[in-house]
Amino acid sequence: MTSPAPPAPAHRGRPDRPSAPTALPAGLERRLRDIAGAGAVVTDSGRLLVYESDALGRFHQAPLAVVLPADTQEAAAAVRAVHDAGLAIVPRGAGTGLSGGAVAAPGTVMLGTARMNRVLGFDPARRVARVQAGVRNSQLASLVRPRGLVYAPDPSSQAACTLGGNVAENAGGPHCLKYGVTRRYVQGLTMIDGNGTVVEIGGGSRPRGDGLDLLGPLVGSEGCFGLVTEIELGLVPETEGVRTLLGLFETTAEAGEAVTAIISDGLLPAALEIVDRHTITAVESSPFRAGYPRGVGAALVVEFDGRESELDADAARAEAHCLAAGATEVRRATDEADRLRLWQGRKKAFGTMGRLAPDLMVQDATVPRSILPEVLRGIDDVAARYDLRIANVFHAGDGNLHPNILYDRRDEELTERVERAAGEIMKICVDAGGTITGEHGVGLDKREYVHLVAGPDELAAMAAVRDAYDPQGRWNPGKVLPDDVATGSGRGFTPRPPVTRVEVSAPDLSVRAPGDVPWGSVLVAMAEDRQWSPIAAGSPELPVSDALRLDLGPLEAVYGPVRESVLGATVETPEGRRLHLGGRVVKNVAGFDLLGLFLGLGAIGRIEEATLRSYPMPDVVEVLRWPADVDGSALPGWPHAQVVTGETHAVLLSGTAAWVDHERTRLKQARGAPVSHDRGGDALRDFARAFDPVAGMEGGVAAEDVCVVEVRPGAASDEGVRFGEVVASVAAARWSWDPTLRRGRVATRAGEAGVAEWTAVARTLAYEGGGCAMLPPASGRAAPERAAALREAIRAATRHGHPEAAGADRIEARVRAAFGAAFGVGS
Amino acid sequence: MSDETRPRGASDTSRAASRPGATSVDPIDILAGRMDAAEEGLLTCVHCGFCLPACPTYRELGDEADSPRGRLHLMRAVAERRLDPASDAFQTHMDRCLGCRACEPVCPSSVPYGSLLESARRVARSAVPARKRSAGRTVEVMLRLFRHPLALRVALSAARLARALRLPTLARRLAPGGRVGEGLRFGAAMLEASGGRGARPVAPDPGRTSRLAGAPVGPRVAFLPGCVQGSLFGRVVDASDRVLTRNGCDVARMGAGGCCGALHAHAGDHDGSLDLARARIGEAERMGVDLVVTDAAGCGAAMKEYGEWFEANPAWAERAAAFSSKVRDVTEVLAELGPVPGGELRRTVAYDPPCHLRHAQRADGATATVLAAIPGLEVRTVADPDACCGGAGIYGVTHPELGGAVGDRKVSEVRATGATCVATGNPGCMMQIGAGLILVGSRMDVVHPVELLDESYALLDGER
Ligand SMILES: Cc1cc2nc3c(=O)[nH]c(=O)nc-3n(C[C@H](O)[C@H](O)[C@H](O)COP(=O)(O)OP(=O)(O)OC[C@H]3O[C@@H](n4cnc5c(N)ncnc54)[C@H](O)[C@@H]3O)c2cc1C
Ligand code: SF4
Ligand code: SF4
Repeated sequence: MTSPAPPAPAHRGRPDRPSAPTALPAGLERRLRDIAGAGAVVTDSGRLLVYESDALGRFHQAPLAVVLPADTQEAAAAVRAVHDAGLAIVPRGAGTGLSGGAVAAPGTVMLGTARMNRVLGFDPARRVARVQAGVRNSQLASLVRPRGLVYAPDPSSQAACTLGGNVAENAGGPHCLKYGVTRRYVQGLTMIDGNGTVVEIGGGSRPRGDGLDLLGPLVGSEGCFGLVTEIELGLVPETEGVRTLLGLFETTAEAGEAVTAIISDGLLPAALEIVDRHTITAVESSPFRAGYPRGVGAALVVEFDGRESELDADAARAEAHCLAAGATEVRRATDEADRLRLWQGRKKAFGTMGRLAPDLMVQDATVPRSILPEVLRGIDDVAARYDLRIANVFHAGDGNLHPNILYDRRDEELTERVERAAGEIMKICVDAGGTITGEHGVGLDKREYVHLVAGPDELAAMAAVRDAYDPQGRWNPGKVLPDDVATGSGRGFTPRPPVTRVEVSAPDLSVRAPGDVPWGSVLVAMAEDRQWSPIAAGSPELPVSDALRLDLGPLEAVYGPVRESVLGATVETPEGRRLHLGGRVVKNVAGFDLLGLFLGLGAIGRIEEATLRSYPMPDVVEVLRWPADVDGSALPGWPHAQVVTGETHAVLLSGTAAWVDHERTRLKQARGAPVSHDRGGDALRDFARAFDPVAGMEGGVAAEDVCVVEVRPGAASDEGVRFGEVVASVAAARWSWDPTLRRGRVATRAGEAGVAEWTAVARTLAYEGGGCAMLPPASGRAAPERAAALREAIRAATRHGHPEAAGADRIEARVRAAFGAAFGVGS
Repeated sequence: MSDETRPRGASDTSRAASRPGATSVDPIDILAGRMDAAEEGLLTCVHCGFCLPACPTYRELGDEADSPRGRLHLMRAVAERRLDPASDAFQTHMDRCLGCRACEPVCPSSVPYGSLLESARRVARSAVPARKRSAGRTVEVMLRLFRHPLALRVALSAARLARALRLPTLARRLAPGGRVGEGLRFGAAMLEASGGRGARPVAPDPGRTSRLAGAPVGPRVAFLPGCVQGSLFGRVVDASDRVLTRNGCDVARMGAGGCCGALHAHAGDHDGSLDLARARIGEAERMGVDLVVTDAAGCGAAMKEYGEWFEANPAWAERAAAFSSKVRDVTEVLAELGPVPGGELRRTVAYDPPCHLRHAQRADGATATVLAAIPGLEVRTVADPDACCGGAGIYGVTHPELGGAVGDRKVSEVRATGATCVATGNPGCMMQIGAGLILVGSRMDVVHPVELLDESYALLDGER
């Protein structure tokens, strides 16, 4: 085979890594068979061949053995056995990855999740499911659909790929434009570390506010941080209707212009997808014909979902934009079958390319969508100069391109040309403010290109965080980071010049701001371009850096946690080192994602500047209030942001006037007439403030004197009742409850709530799968002694009910220490 | 790839040789040749993995070597001469494939898995001496039997006799434990299942097979009873005959015991399959008919592929293609004619499409039309209709554990419908599902869809 030789055994430059063995150590096979059963262990060299590559097919290396455990316990035992033998492990899901991530490094053992395919729990009321890592994406989707719920991330490979693989790659899909990628839906998970210890991360064991966001970096870690065995995933309610349009264009650049026009107009379709001429040919000559006419140069799929009452108007506006951009024809899917056929063609596009050429160089670069047309022209130019055929199929709404180069790897000269062209395309995208991979990951394939998007400091920080999760270098060696992390000189990476003022880019749905300007001034600048942000800082005077730390997430039910709003940031670590993380594109999986470590109350460092995701400004914002009633049940339908306090149950409605009217009528029917009904910015501000229990506390208490505890009842309890009991038993001064996300906050004066009461509460909650945690003081100053003692007691009691969270605490300690060590302070 | 590993430039000849119509080439060249033919070769597999969840053996075992992509990868490794075709890996995994072709319709690249499997099995078969073949002697004996109409007739008559004497029931109860015992027990249950009551326990009435007065004038039809169907499911053949006649066809039966060669092709017995195909083509030509019809989905699928089998053989290519173009499943003919409605039949039936109708012929839609011609019949679809029942010829006998596990899923889905009988259009599936039902003590009947239509006609005629 002429496929590139698999990279040299990855030593990661760490002395503790054993050198690659060529045979399975004596006794290991036996031990694995005892653990997982004879049929679940593959050691025969012939059978191992089928595990030598993933869907990329560019890299080939068979592992020494494959083990297929059935559950977390078996997996942990298998990891221990492999660990004892001194070998590293490569996790594998369905092997649909497109970056060589699930290809073994020489001398490693592969651990496949194919048998870990059970759904462990599904709670329609709480909109959450717990699955084993080997459950397929579409398996979950079809399980929850009959209950009116959707698992939103829908990679084109969803029929085959596993949710564990989705988490490892932070997979996206056509509908992620509106709904966000996998990370947004991961609420907690169970993983196995290099020693074979089972570690619980997130979920009830680590409620918000309790330290670092350890889930964030884990999602998208490509199997390098540990093996994910169980995942708790959030679900969203199905929308009322959909409208699907197909715009036909002569060129992809025209289709790209239509995309920019649609977004700039404030429309937010669920999906915006483009397929180009070559792809159309392939799809149409396959059994998955989508009815794209031959001869067109590009087809743009636009899909809206939401309220029936609004969809036609949205579709009409999008249609007008398509025609204005030069569409020769715009079609509407007439029925569900028509719509599915259309999507089928798009989703199978990659596979059908097998009919065009024996091999594909799969590209995945992402660019800010406003410069899509220019980038597309640049790619056409590369195709012409290198005399190559490039079939482009992409998530245009996200700016995520898949310009796949068609070739035949048996032709060496051609292969070499293809590789140079691929490098050039990535360079074009990075120069345009984009990144090298939006959803497929770096794996083996793009390691060298990580230099384009990360300098030596960033690479060192990524390596340090990886080592904090995997200190012994046991997981998926040789992936993601380039070999020369330590010595690399930042080849090709040029950080963006710092911003001095707020820069709004409406077509990109993003805003860039220095960390020290007031949050209010950012909102004002955004409003001028009819944009807004769901981050609610409490006070408009707070600087951006504090807003990102303190956001209590009143709108989280609709827009996701604060991490979802941050596309990139320049941060300063405690040692004064500056890191440029993320970028200004909505999808980015180039390297390990450290952004989460610098957000929220547990943040490691300070934000110097940030690029935030913005949203089209809603036409109307309204808050309806009813008498308080903590029955724990959220209102049905799309999760509106809601807050229940001692006084009222407030519901926020935002959107077009027609939609807000519709929802108001519906809610009145369900709950009776509201006691109050406010509109506009003030109403929104009051709503957000209700989330902050300290804000309304009487008697002018000093901030340090107040303890705020975030409470998350577990699946096993009747949440509303349980939260009510908590409030009663700890002498709460104030409280707030979010019935959509089912969690609450309780404020007590440090002097009033007893350690004993809180300990009892924390234990009960943890026993039922939930938990609680005291938020760090908002001032950032150290808590007074009494509060510190209370914090420790709550933490200990919560951990007691989640023994497997001990591993997470160890990881957190190592992450914090690693920053010191990596930058020469305190080590 | 270097020149030693794959004869470059030789692709055309080796591709031609890949057709079962040509003779004496190194069978590995067949696979190697098929790597190059961009339209239909191994190289069209882009390794996307979409076929994994469709595959019953992968779903059961979780090992990618038992997935379509894995099997194609092994084939490619053999073609590239990186893997010995006599190796345990190649032998075992080619053998374990059910041949259900559920992997074909989901493949975005339209990899012709079924025909690649036939080439691969040919390679596998010629790589090891018969006695060492992993499926063992059972398959070899069966294949030899099915090649000779007379011997086959004797064997199947013996089976029918055994069935009449209720020997299978006895054998099933007495079979020893262990792998061999499991296979025996299952085989006995299959035989027992073939003796099911059927929808209409009436004796064939040759007098009624002539065209009914006033019936529309339909096509002249050569009907292939199929070897298993013809012998063990005579009642189905008779029902098909009556139903076709009722709908205006002029039915003439092809020679009893004439096998279509499907089993041989699936098992990699290349020469055997071609001999039988030539015989069937000749026979149909002599009969001078419009259509060649069968009620066994497996036979139909094979006969529709004769054209491809002989593509590279100038002497036979045209004749085979003409033959294949005439082949229909019995339900297809009925659906095309628009079946005459029957009398009211108050029953609930679970319908499970045979893989060879659904995936290989992609024609299972016709069955719905046939069943819709029966007033009062409530049809319930079996969940996961894409999944194989595990029948795959004699899979349940040669691979009792895996076949059993695959079959168990199907049997529980069938029972979950709550219907009183299950309809499926292939003898292997009827026996497989029937055997599974017997072993779990269910009293559900297994019928062919045409039997229901036949019964409905009988009710209309007031025969009962
Ligand atoms: C035709 C086609 C279309 C695609 N479309 C999309 C798309 O629209 N969007 C998208 O995002 N991706 C897409 N992909 C890429 C791929 O399907 C995704 O990356 C998917 O998430 C991989 O899942 P998998 O189960 O196949 O993982 P694998 O390929 O087996 O593994 C991928 C990586 O995850 C790691 N991993 C797997 N399971 C675990 C686990 N349990 N714990 C820790 N690490 C693990 C592996 O080590 C490897 O690094 C597409 C692929 C194909 C072939
Ligand atoms: S679905 Fe088709 S192209 Fe994809 S791996 Fe399977 S056989 Fe290959
Ligand atoms: S034919 Fe059936 S058993 Fe064989 S690989 Fe395809 S799906 Fe699997």
